[in-house]
Amino acid sequence: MSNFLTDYQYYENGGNSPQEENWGDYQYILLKDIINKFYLMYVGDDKVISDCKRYEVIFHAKRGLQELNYDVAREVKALELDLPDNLTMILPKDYVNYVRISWVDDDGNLRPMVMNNQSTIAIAYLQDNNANILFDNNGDALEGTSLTEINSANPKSNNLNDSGSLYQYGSRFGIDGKTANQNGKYIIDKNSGVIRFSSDVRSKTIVLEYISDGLSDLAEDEIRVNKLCEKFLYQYMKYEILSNKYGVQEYVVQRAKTEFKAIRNNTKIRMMNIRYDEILQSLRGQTNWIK
Amino acid sequence: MINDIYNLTKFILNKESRGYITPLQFNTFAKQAQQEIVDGYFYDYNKASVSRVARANDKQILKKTRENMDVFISQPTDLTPAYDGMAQVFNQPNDMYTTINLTYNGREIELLDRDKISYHLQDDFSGNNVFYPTYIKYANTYKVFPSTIVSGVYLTYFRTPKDPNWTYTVINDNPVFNSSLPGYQDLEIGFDDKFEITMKILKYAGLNIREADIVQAAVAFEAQDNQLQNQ
Repeated sequence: MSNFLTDYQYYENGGNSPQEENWGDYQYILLKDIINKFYLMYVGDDKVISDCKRYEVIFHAKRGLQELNYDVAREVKALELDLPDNLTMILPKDYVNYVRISWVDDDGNLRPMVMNNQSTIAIAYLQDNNANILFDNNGDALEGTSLTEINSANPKSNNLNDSGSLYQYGSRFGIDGKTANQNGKYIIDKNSGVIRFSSDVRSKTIVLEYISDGLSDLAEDEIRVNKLCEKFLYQYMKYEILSNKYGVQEYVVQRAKTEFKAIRNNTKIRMMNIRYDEILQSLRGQTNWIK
Repeated sequence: MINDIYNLTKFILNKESRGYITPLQFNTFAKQAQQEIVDGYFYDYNKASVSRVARANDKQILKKTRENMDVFISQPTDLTPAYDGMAQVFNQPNDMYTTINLTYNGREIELLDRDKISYHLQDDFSGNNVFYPTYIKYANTYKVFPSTIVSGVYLTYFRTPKDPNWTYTVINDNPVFNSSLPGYQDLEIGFDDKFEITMKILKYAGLNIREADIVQAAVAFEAQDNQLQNQ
């Protein structure tokens, strides 16, 4: 993390454990350093931001980091887990949204799955024989397990297009491309914090690729951000602080907003990792016939 | 500097046999006058800070005032923990004038807004941890958050000026200045405030001996001085 590591400190961690402690760290800067630098360079009697509480700066720095992870940096994390018999996978604790869900085949390739839009996770109230809802002593409805959940875990049919046929009765002329996937389906139950899978992937190893907000699992002085995004954070913090500060002229706020938008676009381009040779490689295939 | 001012004060007061100032009276008046001048440093500093854009000359005023104030800045002091009956607190030093900053493990402890304490303590997103500690001041104590911080809190502060003491030895029934005696304390204000403190001491001395001319002259000098500074 430091700019002043010797080669021995970098490669061998100075003989300490773990050896890989400093590998690749140079691409990152700590959030606490960004907050310090922001105070030094952007806040002062002779600056546009004359004064600002530190907790406001921390708040905007972290919010900026979250926005960065959602929209700009998109550093995708991946988690691999064996699917249990109930075909349910618990969401990672730093999960914010998913990118792709796949299972691993025998060759180590990922088989992407599709979202099952034709089912849902419903709340199931317990009912008596007359279909009256049952309540507990507090007057709250008693809840049971949803039938969609039970049946999806124990399907009676393996026909992938069965669920689709209900909507296509009498008018089915071809396969529904949207759901035509032999790799299986899943439903994300956000409230319960789980992903439920179809039985196609029973006993498979699932890989969940997802994005987080960059804040989880890290102590305050361990939170870090890629150096290509450093300026984005400064401009985000500056704009947010100025736009919420009383008495700041509107043209100052607008200038900060324009600067922020410009650096956001710039950072997006930087983080896209567009490389000349990769584009060239893709274009080389353009003369191939698409059948 | 204290002996020069004592001699000047005595000379003006004794002129035309108006009166006499004892060393005890002088020390008392000098203490009060010095405190007023130090209070004025903070006023000048704030005024020059506010008008920093309009007047380039204020940079020099800021620099000079800051130099005068630097004399009263303490070294970082390890605060003594105490218990206020409800929670752990840290006592402020006896000679404190105003807080500059508090630190813990080299990190600044930030002063909380009183009206936002409860909101802040429920929020672990924007600080309120050992990496970004905060404090609030109750009477003469500091309460630091989070409460796991029980020691190692360092305070840097402006201290109050030391009480000036013109020490003397009596020779032939006359007090003669002797700076080598225990308890001697020179004035701590800047050299350029020598005239101002003399006027202030004369004002108090004039009131003491009920000499209207002295008071009026001293007040007029002070007013003129203020006017010049405000230009």
